[in-house]
This record gives sequence, C-alpha cells and structure tokens, in this order.
Amino acid sequence: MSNSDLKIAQNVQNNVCVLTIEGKLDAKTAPELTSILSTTITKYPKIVCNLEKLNYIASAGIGVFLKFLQEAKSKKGDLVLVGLQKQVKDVFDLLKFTNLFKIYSKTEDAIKELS
Amino acid sequence: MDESKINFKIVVKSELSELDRIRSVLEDKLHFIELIERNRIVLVVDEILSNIIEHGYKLNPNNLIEIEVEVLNQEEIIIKIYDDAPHFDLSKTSNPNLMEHSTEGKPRGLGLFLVRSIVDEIQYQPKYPQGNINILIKKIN
Repeated sequence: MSNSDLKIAQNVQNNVCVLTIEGKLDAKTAPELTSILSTTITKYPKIVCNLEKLNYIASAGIGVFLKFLQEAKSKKGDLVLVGLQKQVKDVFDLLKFTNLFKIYSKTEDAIKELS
Repeated sequence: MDESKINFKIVVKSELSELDRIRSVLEDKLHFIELIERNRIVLVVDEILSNIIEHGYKLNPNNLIEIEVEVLNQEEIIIKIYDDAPHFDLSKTSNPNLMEHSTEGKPRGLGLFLVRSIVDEIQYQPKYPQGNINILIKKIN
C-alpha cells in the first residue's frame, strides 16, 4: 500500500510479520498504517516495524505504534521497532515512550528475538 | 539571503493533504537550523495544523489557515497561526496522562503535549465572532 507520502511493504519470516515503512507518518498517512496493522495483527501478533526509511513522524504515527503495541501484547505477541532515524527517535524521546518499545538496529536481530 | 531576520507567510487549505506541503516549505526556509531543532519546529506547526483541520474545521476543506513565521537573529522563532475555527485556547488544555496512553494504547491526544514540550511560550488571542490566533515562541538552540 502506498501514496506519495508513505510506503508500506510487508513480508513474513519465521511467523513474524515485517513491515518496512518509508516516508512520513502524520495525521494524513497514519490511518493507512492503522488499516494494515489491524489486518496483520489478527494473524501475526509478532510484528517488526522497520523504520530505517521513515524520515518524519508526528503524534498520530506514534499513537498507532502505541495502540498496536498494546494489542500485540494482549495477543501474546509484540511490536518492535528497527532503525529509527534520529529525528524520529527524538519524538519518541519527547513523549518519554522510547523505553516502551524494544528498538533494534537490524531487522534480522528483531526477527530472531521474536521467533 | 540575510538569515539574521527571516519573515514569511504561508496560507494553506484546511486539508490534511496540505501538511506535507507546509512541512516542505518550513524545511526549506529553515534549512540553517540543525536537523533535530528544525524537525521540532516543523512538528509543532504540523501538530497544530492537524488539530485545527481535524477538530476545529472538522475536516471541512473549505477553510484557510494562515501561518506567519519570523526568525530573529537565528536565536528565536515566532510562529503565528490564524484560523477561523471555533475558539480553542491550546495554552489552557491540560497535559494527557502519558502513563495511561502507554498502558492503554490510546492512539491520539499526544500532539498538543508535544507542542507544549517543544515551545518556550504560547500566547492565545481569540478572534470575534470566531477564530483563533496562536502565537508560539521558541528559542533556537
């Protein structure tokens, strides 16, 4: 699924769904991610979100990760993040949410941890 | 260009699709500010515009929002945002319970907290019969 501001690709490895999210997550694009995660989480409650190419996030985007982190945990899964750019990590830091999420530098490490 | 004093104005339609355009303009005009600091300024404008478009104008695209930006000696930025939506004084809203957000996974309501965390001062002026002027002042580190 994609528009000019956001691209989301997904694949499954070892029963873990990997979402590669590129572009900008704001009030306009966050519903797209919500829609994809709503579908994904019913089958795969273990989710890795690769944010290496996400160069902007607003509170609407953080809110989506927060919602599905709790939902994943309620299904005995998890939602973890990979490769936050420094301006994206700064927004998590401002909200003091950085410690809520497991953050990895490589997707392979995240998959290994969740498998 | 003399960057000791920068002054510009942008008018946007009340549509979420305008957010990307306004961010691009701000990124371009404020290129001399360090990445994290610049991103925070862009974020402040983005969050307030999103709030006006979604809650003030209830996604009705037939309205305008005006943004005036003034940078003084590369030390302070003053952002004035004018809208014609119902009165809303963001300086008087209370902070969300972040613990509640994190434990219950509440997806929204964090934007104005971010704004208050980032700026040094918020001034509010209501317009009559309706409309708002929000003035945000931030020192540039």
